[in-house]
Amino acid sequence: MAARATMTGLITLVRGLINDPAGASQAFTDEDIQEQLDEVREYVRLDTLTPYAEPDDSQLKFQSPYKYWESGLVLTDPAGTVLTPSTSDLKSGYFTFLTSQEAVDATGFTYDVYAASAVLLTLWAGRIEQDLTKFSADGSSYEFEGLGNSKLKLASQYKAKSPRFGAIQTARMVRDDHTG
Amino acid sequence: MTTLVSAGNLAKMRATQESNLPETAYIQGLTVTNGADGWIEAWTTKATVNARLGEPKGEQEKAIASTVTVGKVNVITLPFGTSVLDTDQIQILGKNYRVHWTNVGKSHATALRVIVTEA
Repeated sequence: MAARATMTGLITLVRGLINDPAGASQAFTDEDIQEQLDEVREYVRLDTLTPYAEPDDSQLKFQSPYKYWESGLVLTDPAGTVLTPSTSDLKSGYFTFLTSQEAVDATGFTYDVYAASAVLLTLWAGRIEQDLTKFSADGSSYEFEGLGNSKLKLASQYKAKSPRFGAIQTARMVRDDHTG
Repeated sequence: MTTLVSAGNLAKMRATQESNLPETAYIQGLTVTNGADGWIEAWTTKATVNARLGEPKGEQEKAIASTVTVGKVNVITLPFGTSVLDTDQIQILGKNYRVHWTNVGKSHATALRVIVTEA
């Protein structure tokens, strides 16, 4: 099954994060990457975007708190009318319009690209560990032991950036032993 | 027949060896033609491959090299599968090297090793 056309941007982004450019020697297919992304996606329904008012009080620029949208997202106004943005930055969740909008809601899937990248790198490292790591033959000696470790190290860094795997979250603490 | 070295790993070893061949080598055979002035000998390039020029490594190569009494002994590493005859010469960086021995036929070979002397 081919990867969805709406995932092209995210798949390219993940390929860049894991250093696996598309081509004959790629480690993962687009479908492999999409499968990992789908495991860490979140459906967002009618997320109200934050407007940035212009000097004349018109509202042309809007920002979503969510990042890494699939390109099939739908933007609507409060009446439910589908809006077509002038520009869309799906990675940062930033949208602009040619005409002022009272409010804009976004509905679609957002993805934790760092979580997917961490899983893919871990899988990749596992393949390397099962593979040849060093040899001496016919006048030469070679070692590849650093390859798997470097991918696991990068995976660890991406896990730290991933909301799903442990990026710092904020929590509100409420004391119930203190009054006044 | 079982083997500790898988076909995939053997292919990777050969590819790794090939990635460390910085020179260009011309495999040349001697051709003889009957011209108006008689028999004429000339070295003709049969193949162009990547190569690495080095010294004998391992007991077998050193033992064979010690039996060569003429000229300075070098070892040229070529991609696995390269065809080199004992009667050929190899030209690298403008220098010609005569072939004395190759490891052709060795089990699980990852590169062709050729013991040579400067012509």
